[in-house]
Amino acid sequence: MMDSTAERGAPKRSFASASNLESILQSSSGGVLLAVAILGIILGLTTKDFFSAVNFVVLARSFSVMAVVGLAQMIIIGTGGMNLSVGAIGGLAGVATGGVMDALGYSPALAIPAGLCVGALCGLVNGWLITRLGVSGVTSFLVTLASGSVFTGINLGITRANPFYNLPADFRLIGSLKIAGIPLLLFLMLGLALALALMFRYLGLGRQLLALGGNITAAELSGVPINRVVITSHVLCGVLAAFAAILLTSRLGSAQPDVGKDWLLPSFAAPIIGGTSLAGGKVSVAGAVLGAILLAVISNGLVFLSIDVYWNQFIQGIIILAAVGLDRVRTISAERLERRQA
Amino acid sequence: MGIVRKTFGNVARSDIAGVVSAVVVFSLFLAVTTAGFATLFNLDSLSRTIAITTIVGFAQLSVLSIGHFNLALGPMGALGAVCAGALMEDFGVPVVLSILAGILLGTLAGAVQGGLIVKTGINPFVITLSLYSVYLGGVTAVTKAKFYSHMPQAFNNIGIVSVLDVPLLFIVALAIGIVLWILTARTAFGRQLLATGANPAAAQFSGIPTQRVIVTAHAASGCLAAAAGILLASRLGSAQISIGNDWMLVSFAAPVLGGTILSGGKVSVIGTIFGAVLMSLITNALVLTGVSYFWFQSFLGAILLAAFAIDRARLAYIRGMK
Repeated sequence: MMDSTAERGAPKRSFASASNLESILQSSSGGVLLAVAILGIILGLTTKDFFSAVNFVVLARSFSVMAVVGLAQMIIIGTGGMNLSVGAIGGLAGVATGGVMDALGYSPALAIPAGLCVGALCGLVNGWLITRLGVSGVTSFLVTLASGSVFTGINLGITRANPFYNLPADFRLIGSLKIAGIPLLLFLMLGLALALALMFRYLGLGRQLLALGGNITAAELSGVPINRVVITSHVLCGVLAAFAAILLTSRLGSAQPDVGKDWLLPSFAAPIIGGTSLAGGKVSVAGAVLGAILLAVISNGLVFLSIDVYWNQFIQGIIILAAVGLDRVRTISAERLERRQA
Repeated sequence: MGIVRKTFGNVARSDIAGVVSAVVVFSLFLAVTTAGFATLFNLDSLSRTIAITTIVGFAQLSVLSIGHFNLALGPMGALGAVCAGALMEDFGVPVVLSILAGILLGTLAGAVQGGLIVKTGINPFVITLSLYSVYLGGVTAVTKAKFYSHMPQAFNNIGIVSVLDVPLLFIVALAIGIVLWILTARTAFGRQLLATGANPAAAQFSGIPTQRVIVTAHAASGCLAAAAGILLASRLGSAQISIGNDWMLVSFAAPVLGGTILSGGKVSVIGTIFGAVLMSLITNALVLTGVSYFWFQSFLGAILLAAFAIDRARLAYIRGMK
């Protein structure tokens, strides 16, 4: 449904299946949705208060931010690259936004665009460097590894590791406002997800991004402006990372320099669990969002089950391995089926 | 790419001559301009830092040779250090046995990583990224992030003593370097390693047991990472899970600066040593000139970018030669 792929020979699961339900379940997003549902039911039955309104709000705020982070990474994965600096960009954009309000005294109306611009700039640097050094997975790995360090360095250099505490009330409102009991953050995240899904499906840029990830040589020969697409994808990624940081900063009530420090794994985990292929060329917006929800439910559940929070990181690693492993099994058996039918 | 090639063409051609001359020039510069550099105290401390940085670089070099990246290198270091520390402090196990156990754990962690890569066919990046979480999360959860700082003095001495004014750490690092150089440049296994890195398919068709090579490379990486972690714990006098958390950047920078090509098939052990020396010199210079610690990250990142640009130019040059 919300899966987009640029490969013409890709199994047309969503379109050729008899029933819609069947196709939903067969897609990777369906698998994650099922996992979330099962986990949620188990937790709801075995613990008190998991299904409470308060917990829903806590969960929603948490996964809304991480879903945006996952979507930011998803864009780059879709082009066949990776961005190890999403957390660093988020951190820098967050303190930039906070600094504009706290240290410079401007209103959120100026600070938020400023933060987004910082994100865009960081993305521009990434994209430019990658195109300069030869677009490839290895290049994007190393460039963003290095640039992440540079951005974090700038972040720490400016703030001296001190947060910005004096944020205006109307800025903090974004993170705390609820509409009919549902956090505003959730609506913002869903709006963004919808926009991205539409972009990948209907906008030329979306198709170009996926073409790049599918087969860079073919894309280049088809006239896709590789360098421009790479730079645009990283700028977009940077803006999204900044957006996530701004949402988080609003929720926290202060601009913390260590925002984004632990974003690396979840930024990959959410899209990968949700069906985005690391090889590029195929993204799943719904999958990325559901992946973020799954990870948040797991974290949240550990607290309710009184399991040491230290195990959270361990379990997240296992989940990704399991998810990718399952996907591999599915791919192999699909290939075997195709070969037998041929 | 053309501008990159022209700019770095000379450096590319000279291979390790580039990093060696950079080290020499920079050292002389520091000795002359920066007070406190050429003191015995500073050089002693510097050589210990170089020793550990070098071994970290070697750990990453092990997998770079086959064209893989070990993102779980830091946690493997923490695993080794915390395992040894826990055994010595909580269970009173003798120092030598504890160290061996820690190194064994690291080797196992690496072997598991290599095994997963080979057996599941999942993208190595995803596997090492996930194992980063698994290993770090695992050791954190098992030890509840405990700080081990009451280890036997015999253990702590490893990081402190010197032999004829040369720190033991430095000697160990050099010894490891010699072993690695012999392995990669003079043995059949070394050739198998590099062949697998240069072209896995061709290597397999030539009869090289690529699966075994890959597992061994990752196991070696884990072994060296654990060794580095244990040596660092000895120097610090404490073993904690934060060991290795800032190794990622340096582990790539040292080999790349020294001439190792990231796509695999070409390694330089000596180059890695000089790369580690250069990185340590830069950090030392930043400390001595009073640059705020907070800007270190930016410097190191910029260095890595420069190193990578040189790496790409080298690759383009080599490809251009064919």
